[in-house]
Amino acid sequence: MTLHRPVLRAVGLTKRFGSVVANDDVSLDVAAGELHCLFGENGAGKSTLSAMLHGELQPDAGHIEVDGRRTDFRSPADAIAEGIGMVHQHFVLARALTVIENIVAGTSRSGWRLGLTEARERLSRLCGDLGIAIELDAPLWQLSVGEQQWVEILKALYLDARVLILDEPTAVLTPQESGKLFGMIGKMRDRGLAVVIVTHKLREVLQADTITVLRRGRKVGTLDGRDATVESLTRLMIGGDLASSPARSSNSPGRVAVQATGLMAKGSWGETIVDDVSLMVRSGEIFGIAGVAGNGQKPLLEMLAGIREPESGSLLIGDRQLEGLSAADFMRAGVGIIPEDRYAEGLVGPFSIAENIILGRHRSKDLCRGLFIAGDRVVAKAEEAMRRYSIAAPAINTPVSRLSGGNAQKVVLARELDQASVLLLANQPTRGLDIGVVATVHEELRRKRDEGVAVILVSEDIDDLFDLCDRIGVMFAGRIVGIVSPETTSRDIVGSMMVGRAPAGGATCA
Amino acid sequence: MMDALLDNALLISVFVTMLRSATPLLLSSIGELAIQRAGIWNLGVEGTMLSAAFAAYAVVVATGSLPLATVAAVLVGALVGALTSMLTVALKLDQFVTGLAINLVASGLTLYLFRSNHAVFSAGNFTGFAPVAVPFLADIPVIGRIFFQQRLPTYLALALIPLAWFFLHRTRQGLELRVLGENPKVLQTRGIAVAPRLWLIIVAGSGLTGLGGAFLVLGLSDRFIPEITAGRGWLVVVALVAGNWSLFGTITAVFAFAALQAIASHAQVLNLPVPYQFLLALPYIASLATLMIFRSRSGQPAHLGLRDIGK
Amino acid sequence: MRIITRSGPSVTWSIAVYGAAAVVGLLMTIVLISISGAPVGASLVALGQGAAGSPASIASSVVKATPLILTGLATCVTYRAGLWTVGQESQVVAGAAAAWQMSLWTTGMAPVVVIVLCVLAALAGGAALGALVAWFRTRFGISEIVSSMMLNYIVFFALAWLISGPWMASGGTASYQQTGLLERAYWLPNIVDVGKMHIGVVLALIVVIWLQVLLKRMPLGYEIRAMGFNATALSQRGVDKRRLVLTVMVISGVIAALAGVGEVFGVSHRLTGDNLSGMGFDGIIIALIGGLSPLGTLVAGLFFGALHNGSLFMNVITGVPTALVTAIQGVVLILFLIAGAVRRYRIERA
Repeated sequence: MTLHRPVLRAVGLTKRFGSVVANDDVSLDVAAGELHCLFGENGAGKSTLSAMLHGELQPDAGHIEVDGRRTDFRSPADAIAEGIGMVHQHFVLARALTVIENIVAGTSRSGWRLGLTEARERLSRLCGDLGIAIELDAPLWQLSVGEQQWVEILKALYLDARVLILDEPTAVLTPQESGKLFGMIGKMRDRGLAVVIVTHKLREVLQADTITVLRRGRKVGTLDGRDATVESLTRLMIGGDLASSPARSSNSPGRVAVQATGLMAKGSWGETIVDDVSLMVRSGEIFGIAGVAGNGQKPLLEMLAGIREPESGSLLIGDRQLEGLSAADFMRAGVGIIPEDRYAEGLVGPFSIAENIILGRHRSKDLCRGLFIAGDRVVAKAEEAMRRYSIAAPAINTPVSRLSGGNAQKVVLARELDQASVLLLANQPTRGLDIGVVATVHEELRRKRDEGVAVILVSEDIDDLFDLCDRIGVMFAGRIVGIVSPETTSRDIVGSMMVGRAPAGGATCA
Repeated sequence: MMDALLDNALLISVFVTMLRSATPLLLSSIGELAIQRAGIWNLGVEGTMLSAAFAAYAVVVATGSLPLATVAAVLVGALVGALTSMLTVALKLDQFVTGLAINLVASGLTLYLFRSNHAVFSAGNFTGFAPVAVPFLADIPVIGRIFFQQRLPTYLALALIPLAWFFLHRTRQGLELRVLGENPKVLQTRGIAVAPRLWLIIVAGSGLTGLGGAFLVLGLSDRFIPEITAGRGWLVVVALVAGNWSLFGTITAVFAFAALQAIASHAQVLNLPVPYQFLLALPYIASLATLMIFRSRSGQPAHLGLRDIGK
Repeated sequence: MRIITRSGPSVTWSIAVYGAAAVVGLLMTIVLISISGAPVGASLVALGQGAAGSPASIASSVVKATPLILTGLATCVTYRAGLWTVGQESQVVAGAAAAWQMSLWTTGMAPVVVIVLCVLAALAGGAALGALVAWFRTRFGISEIVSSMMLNYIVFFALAWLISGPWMASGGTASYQQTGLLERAYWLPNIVDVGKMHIGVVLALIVVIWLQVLLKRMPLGYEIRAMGFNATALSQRGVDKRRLVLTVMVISGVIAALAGVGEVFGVSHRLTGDNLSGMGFDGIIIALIGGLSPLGTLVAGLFFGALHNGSLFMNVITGVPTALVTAIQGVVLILFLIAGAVRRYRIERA
């Protein structure tokens, strides 16, 4: 295919936040009809760059050109007026409203009356061009995640976007939905649209026409998609070669730590969200749970932690029968949990590091003296945790809401690893963290396993699961559809099980 | 007692009173619905109504003009709305605390202003809105007496119901208001400034609430007493919650409360075998019962009461 | 020029902002007094004299402040827990009414027994009302704001019925209803022989200290603060949220009820339709101005209690209505809320 002159051009963009330079002199050209990839690991500055490209942030130095004209985006409205559309990683949608209402809201095409006839026609034409079918009058909450992303794309195209920026577009999609998305991107590219994808996934990068690699806020290279290889990209991204992943457990698993039978859970509308799940995990074993988000992993972990009461089923942890008991009883039985959303579920934001370290153990005898919480003991415990996990903070009384994501997660780790003497539950413990903290988390999970604790790890990242786990259960539609061994199973099989297709043999229930 | 209830004239009187008592609640609840559907958990309804009622009273006593008094009430309502906007939208204070503070300051200030000018106020007599019979329609038996011999604001309140529905569901501004309450970022990412819109909605909605307050003085009682709102602002909030934030659900709850008030005000004639105070408490008891029965919150705007409003 | 969010509060800036709020509050007071047509200077002097001009007036200011401090503390404990109840008003009444009923049942017994039983009944009354709000919330998901406000009205009408019917004094009239006077022997004892310095004053101080220690040092206080910030994280770490909501509401009911029984058994010695009204809301204002800390509430309560007391004298001398203080309370609350928000920002030259 032929590449055209640049439609969008960034020249020497620099953005500082206080003393941190998020983008340092970054330039790039995006041509009409090309798929351009912004590639780099978490914290490399991709999001800052894309925020400047669509007017959400303003550069401290440098400028942006559209069609060769110098522009000055003071808000997303300016960028939209120049034909720059943006699809955020976390969709910006009103769930109670319909598809078409979401698309036309905030556009002035329709006058004061909400005449939707013309909008309907335009949108059905657009859908036809992209090869998708969507019910325009359906309320948004009825749509799958993939369909919600279509709505986001339609929102941009409805306003005549010529450049479409997609931030981590496949992060929440199934492999099938991702395939469909790239199909749509292909059609847009053929129609002369420029598409910019922000991603850290190697597989996607290789489909791009042009790749711009960022590291620590600087551009470290621009590659032609045809010339790029996994090795060259990796080297550029991390500035060196990847260390080979450490070996799995060498010691053999011990006695049964968790025996769950027939666990059922219902959602807030009465729908079944965990459907007859049984599993057994031994101490000294890491049991992975693979699956696309929203297939019952979270309620399953919540039941195993005693946070959610099962509709039915039995649950043996250590040597205690725990179904129907409270979260406090589960904690006494030695269960710790690293929740999915550390700020919403794991930490009390305005509380200090020390206060968060004792959350849930604030009544235990070794932290109290008589009727009071013993301040000196809490301080000692918190100081030890800060040393042990090298939590970077001014003091133990710093509120955790002022900590970086990685340091906040270390506070959760310090508390829960100490708590989990029999079973450790971890739901996406490395999400959104820098590579250094990710390594720490993985190391701690392995250490816990070696101490003879049973670990259950929920992740959407198949690579992580294959690196860490002794066995992997795959969840789909609230059920565990198979339990596989990473030694004998390929990633593709697990991927297809994640979307509900039965494995072609090979997977056995352990 | 039952024969008394079935008495035609009495029944008509109860219905007439119901529409009359419903008027301030209708006006205020439509104003409040606009504000809450835009995502602001405004609990200052009571204080807004009270301030406006006092303004209407002060102006009508001073000038004798009903239109002027009504305009003054709407303006004061809007002013309270501007204060609410400043605290919640500009300063991003907790919306519950803001609403509570508005109620408390309105209660204290109106009480003081009323007492400190007692001589002026106690001398001023006035007549509020008189019933206006709609030609022809007023002559229809029963229905005519109930619906078409009401006061002007009552007609306005009834007309506002379909207008409010049309605004919310059939205009661009109405859609954008609902979007604000669900996810203000949708508008923000399209480059639309959210704060000025919220100011406008809160000020306009509070103005309408103020009109409801004016009716307490000019249409219900022809006088002012401290705390004349007597919890009506809170009933409006309850009506929204019980009505699951839909216009028609809210209106239904409003009419139910108004019916109870109408029955209470006919207690002596009806000669019901319960203490008079029980009848007065009935709307509040009923509102708790309603909330216990209608527990769906599915219509609650997703962004209601959250403080990250944006710019 | 642009406005920037501060990373941490600066002490001098805070003092400046709150100082400005206080000055504006004073200016508003002057405006309000002049609206009533009274001489401003003389009114302010009378207000001050009435509040703290003599040992007797100081004592009576403290007595006036006591119920406000207590309802303020009832507010602290709930608002710190993130429970936005406005039911202090009805908890005060429930406490007083329960105590009154107990006094009717126990007439004739030894005074000590009667007083103790009446105070206990008051605590039970306040606790019951608090528990009711907790039940509405945990069982039916009804916001405590709404349910407590509705209960305020219901309790108000219930009291109106009681004092106009079953408890009405023989001397009561249709226009001003009240119970008869409590027998002298059953009055709360005074701690010192000045004015009406009843034992409730000491109880209020004890509650201030207890609540301060509870919130700062004890596991329950830790849970209360944690629930206020992040109830989900707390309950996921094994704390039973329903029980905690119930506990907090009962504590708040008990504290507010103390205000009610203290006022009726220590000061007015009878129940009327209005001698308890407004105490709950005054307490909310005072707690918010006091920054929801027990010690702050004590200070704010003493200040406004003194003003309420002084306003009686001012009313006699210059004719300014006592409602001035109610109005000022509201104004100062708004000003302090604004100050609290402005404190987080600073203005910088771009």
